[in-house]
Amino acid sequence: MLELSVGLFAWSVVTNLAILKMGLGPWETVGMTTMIYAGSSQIAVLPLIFAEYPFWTIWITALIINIRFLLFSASLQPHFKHLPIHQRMTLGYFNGDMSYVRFITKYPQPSPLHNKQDVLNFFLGASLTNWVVWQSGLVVAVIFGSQIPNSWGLEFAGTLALVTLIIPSIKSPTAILSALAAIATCILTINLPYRLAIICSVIAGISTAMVSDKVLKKGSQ
Amino acid sequence: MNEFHMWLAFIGLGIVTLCTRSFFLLLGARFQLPASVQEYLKYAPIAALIAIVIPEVFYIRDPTTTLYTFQWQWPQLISTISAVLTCIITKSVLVTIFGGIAVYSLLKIFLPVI
Repeated sequence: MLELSVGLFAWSVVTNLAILKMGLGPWETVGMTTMIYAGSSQIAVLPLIFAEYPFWTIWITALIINIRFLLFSASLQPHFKHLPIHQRMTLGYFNGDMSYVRFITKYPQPSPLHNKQDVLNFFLGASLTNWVVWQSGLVVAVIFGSQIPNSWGLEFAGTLALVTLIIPSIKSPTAILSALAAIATCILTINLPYRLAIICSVIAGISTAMVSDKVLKKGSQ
Repeated sequence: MNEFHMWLAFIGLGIVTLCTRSFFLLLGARFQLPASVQEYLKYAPIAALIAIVIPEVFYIRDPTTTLYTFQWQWPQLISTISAVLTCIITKSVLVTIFGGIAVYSLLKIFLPVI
């Protein structure tokens, strides 16, 4: 997570810089990023807010962009179902893309061999790092905003950090097929409204994995 | 939109985000995910990340229509390919990110000149 933080930090600076450049004041940006803490959906809904779209359009857009987290929360649930409700909600707030992938790669499924406290500590370590790094990027963007030159290539660091998360996870034939299905679906659905391409790709990735597992198992029998 | 309405929109967005992120967590022990579904959910985040990366590498977004159009963007494309290879070979996050940024920046500076 610490290594990933480099990419995450640059990504946060660039995202929050983009929010400031859209015309949101520094305090509004700080408030928004702290309250919502969801970079890509913030960028997507700001034009809607400025154009005075109705509240429900703004909220539904954010909901659809964030819908992948619904599935992420389903796979976190078995790990943390024993915790009190306010703690589970706090875990939900802190669940970011990068920290989630780190966590689920280490603990794909609950097992009696895992110490519950270790699992919780790992989740908190990854997601709090994620949060602190993101908020530091926000502070740097607000304070040094205009002094950061565009030529540093920082805007691409977030994408590169995501590449380092994706590649190590693709290690089985099923994972390769699932990733290819996600790529194809993303290209086919890219211009659907509400960035539905993300959830379409997720559905394609999961269903391809199911089918290919069945076919591969049959082939090996 | 005035200041008050904007903060109202933010608060609503905060609640929507919190609800989606903790939805199944909030159901707690009342909810039991079948093990077979649990197994395949591990393919969800990678597919989601792929769908976030693809537009950054292959597409440009029109700010007014918010539509994506395909475009060869050599700095992004070559930097991503080099990052994929670096990641497979070195398995190092830092080398991949810094190498990728270096390739991207150099191409952005020198490609228009050639």
